[in-house]
Amino acid sequence: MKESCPDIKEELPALLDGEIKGANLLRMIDHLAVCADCRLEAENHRRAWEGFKSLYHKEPLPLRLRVNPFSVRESFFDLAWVGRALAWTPALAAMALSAYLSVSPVDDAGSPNDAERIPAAGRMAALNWDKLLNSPPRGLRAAPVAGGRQARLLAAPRLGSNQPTLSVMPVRDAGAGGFKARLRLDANERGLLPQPVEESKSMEVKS
Amino acid sequence: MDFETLYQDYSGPIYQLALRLLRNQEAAIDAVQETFAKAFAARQDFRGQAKPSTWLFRIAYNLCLSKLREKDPGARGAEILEQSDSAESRPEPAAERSELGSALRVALEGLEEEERRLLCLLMEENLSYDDLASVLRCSPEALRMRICRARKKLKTLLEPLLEKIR
Repeated sequence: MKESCPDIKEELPALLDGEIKGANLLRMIDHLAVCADCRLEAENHRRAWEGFKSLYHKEPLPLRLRVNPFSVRESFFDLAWVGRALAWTPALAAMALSAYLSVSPVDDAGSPNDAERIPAAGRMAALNWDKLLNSPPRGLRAAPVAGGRQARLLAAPRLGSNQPTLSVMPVRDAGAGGFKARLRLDANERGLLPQPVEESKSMEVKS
Repeated sequence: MDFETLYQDYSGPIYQLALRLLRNQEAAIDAVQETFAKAFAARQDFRGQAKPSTWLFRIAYNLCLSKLREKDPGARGAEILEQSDSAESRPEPAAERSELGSALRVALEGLEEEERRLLCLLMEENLSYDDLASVLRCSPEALRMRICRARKKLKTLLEPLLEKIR
C-alpha cells in the first residue's frame, strides 16, 4: 500500500530530529525514495532549520565558566569544605610563622577579628621556608608570592591558580616574641562562584 | 551524583541554551552558575526519575524563563530583552551581521516566543523528544505536536529565503 503523503509530511520534522526508528524509518525512507514532493518538503524543512540554527552560532564558553567549581570537592557550595580547610589553621599558622621568620617582617596594621593561640607554634617555627615549599601539607600546594613574604597554599592543586586559595600572611609583631598572622580564605576572588564565599580568620601565634 | 562530571559535560550546553534563550552573555553566565548552585542545593531531592542531564536542563530552562519574566512581566520575553540590551552585551553571530542573517531575523519575528524557545531547546543535541518532554513537563505526544507545528511555521516563515540557505 502506498503511504499517504500527508502522513509522511506530518512525520518529517521528527525524521529530521532522528526520532523515527525501526520499521517507521524504513517506511519513510521507502516513501521518500519514490515521492519527489515529500523529498522537496523534507529538504525545505532541513533548510529552514539550518537557517534558524545559523542565527544561534555556538559561542565559546566564557572564561568564568571554564573552571569547574566542583573539582575541589562535592560540597563546594555548602561551605563544609571551608570548615575542613580551616582545620588546617594551626599548621598553616606555624608555616606562616616560619616563613615570616625567614624573611623581613611585613608591616601591616590589619587587626584580627578572631584570635587563637597555637601552642605548637614554637616547635613548628623550626620549619623553614624551603620545607614549606618542598613538603606542603597533604592536599595543599605551596607557592611563594609577593616576593616570598607570604605563603600561598592552594587548596585545589589540580585547578591551578584560578581557584580558591588559602593565604597565610604574617601581619605584625604581637610583642613578646609572638606574631599575628591573618589567614584569609577567599573562594571567590575571581567571581568563579554564584555566591561570594569568603572567610577570614586571624590568629596569634607565639614563637 | 558526580557534580564534577556533570559540570564538565553540561556547563557548555547549558550556557549555549541560556545564551539562545536570554540573548545576553552576562545573564547566560549567571544562569549557568545559578543552575548548578540550585541543582547542588537540591541534589537530595533528585530521585532519578529523569536523567541528571535532563534535570539540569529543566532547572536551567525554568531559571531562564523566570529571568525573562523578571525582565518583562508581560512575558513576550526574549524579544523585548533583546531590544532593551545594549549592542555590546549581545553576542553577534556571523549570520546576524550578514544580509541573509538580517532577513532571517526579520522573517522569524513571526514566531511566537514559546515556539522560538521550543526550537532553541530542540537545538540541544543531548536532548531527545522524551527528554524535552520531561524538561517542559508535558507528554511526549503533546511535545511531538508542538514541535511539528513550530517546524511547519518555521518553514512557512522562511519559505521566501529557503533558496538562499544551503
